[in-house]
Amino acid sequence: MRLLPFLLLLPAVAGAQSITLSFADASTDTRVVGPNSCDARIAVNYEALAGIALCERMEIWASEGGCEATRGDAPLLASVSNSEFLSNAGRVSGTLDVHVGALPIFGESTCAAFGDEAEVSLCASFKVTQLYGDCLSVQSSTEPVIVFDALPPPRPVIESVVALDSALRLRVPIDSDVRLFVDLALADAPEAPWTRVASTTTTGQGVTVSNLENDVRYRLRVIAEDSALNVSEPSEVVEGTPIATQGFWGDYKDSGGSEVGCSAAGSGPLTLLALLALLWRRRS
Amino acid sequence: MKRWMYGVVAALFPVIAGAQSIQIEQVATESPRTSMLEFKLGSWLPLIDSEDGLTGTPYADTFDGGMLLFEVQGERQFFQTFGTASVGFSVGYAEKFGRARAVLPGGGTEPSEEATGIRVLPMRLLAVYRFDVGAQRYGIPLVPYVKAGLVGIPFWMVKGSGVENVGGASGSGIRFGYQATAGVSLQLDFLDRRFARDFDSGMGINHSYLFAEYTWANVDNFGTGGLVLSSRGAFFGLGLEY
Repeated sequence: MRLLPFLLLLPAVAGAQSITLSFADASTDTRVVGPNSCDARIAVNYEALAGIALCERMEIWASEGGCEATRGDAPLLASVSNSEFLSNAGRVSGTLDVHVGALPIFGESTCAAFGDEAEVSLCASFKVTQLYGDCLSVQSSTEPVIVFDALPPPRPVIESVVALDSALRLRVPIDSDVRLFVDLALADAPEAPWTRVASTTTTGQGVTVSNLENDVRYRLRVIAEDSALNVSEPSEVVEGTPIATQGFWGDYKDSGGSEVGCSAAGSGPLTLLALLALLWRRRS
Repeated sequence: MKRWMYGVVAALFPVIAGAQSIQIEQVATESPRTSMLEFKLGSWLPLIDSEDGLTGTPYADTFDGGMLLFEVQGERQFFQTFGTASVGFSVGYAEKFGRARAVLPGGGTEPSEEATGIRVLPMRLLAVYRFDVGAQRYGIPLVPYVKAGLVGIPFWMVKGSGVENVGGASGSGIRFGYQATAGVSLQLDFLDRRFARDFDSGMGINHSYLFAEYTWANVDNFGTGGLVLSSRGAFFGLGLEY
């Protein structure tokens, strides 16, 4: 009879069982890594509510085929024992480090030598006792994915070089998750080494290199880097020469415009004060 | 009076009282009017090239025509006895871009790929009078109005990604002036009076208007010289009185 309240509570407890997995330092559920990250460890948070009716430990593993199937012979990343659940009132949470180089996706190859793209899902499950003694498997409700990308992005193509004032704008169509690096050298010194002058996340339009000298011919090439830090082959080398330009303000001043702009005392709030003083003097 | 008659009167009283209150609600159809909100668009062509002493036409040479100016204006009404008078403040934004000119080594210029432009943020402090007697008393949907007030226009002249600088002078500042506006608005209530009443009872918006107005603005720091941001032009928009 003492077990009766416990047995009555069991179904309610079973309904609240859950496991969640998430990357510790990202809001997304996908992490892209590459060969540069073979030694890296990715922190993954787990939180599990099993109640006190656990009949098999919680296991966390990585699976190439998603988390639908059972673990099988996939290598175990971590486990939480029944006693740990019992000593924490049926709820456990923590963080485990997933070693990128040990992910089960490289087959006969190694992480550093792997030259393809593959992905694994991080999965977790435990089994709890049902009312009549059967063990029911509970799977994680979230499925973080690690994408291992060893493929370099396509070689960028510089469609055009636009000469600007002390700058050159390179039109380079690329994907939005690619960063561009620009290598620069003086065109009149062919043996001069490349200098990396810019890296930027682009929106598919290209990149602008600033702080250049007008009327000097430069050689430029562009290198793309994707989110897995894979680097493309350099683009073809192009040449460009920044030029001095004059905008509307310069045209206005050249035409004899008397506006002095913000640097002088006759502008902005100072102008307002001067005008008020002028009107005051006229009245008095 | 017999007791049963008292009973009948007492029983009918709430019904009669209820009918009266319904009648009163039907008569009082409009909520108090206090404010006006306007959203307007128009082509704004600053008379920059009209500045005394200019030897050329830099605005016409760089840009092609006027720019689209969007403004929002709020008014607070303080007089409603014969027409409606209010004070208002508006703020708008417009920009226009063209091609900067490449400075050739041997002198002279030619069009370049670099963009140059002007951005303005006109702000106006206005006194407004709307002759809405006909609309309020007789249901005539046309409401003529006039506005007059002070104007301040901060401006930025940009080249590439920033404000252009020539000889240490930055191409930005603010210009002041005054303006007068005349316009006419079409009160939309006549299209569907029931919907207009629901708009008032539900959202507190008494009247909606479509309007057209013409503004004459002298924005040249009251004739003291410098950049001329005066303009003459028409605006069209939607007004909500609440």
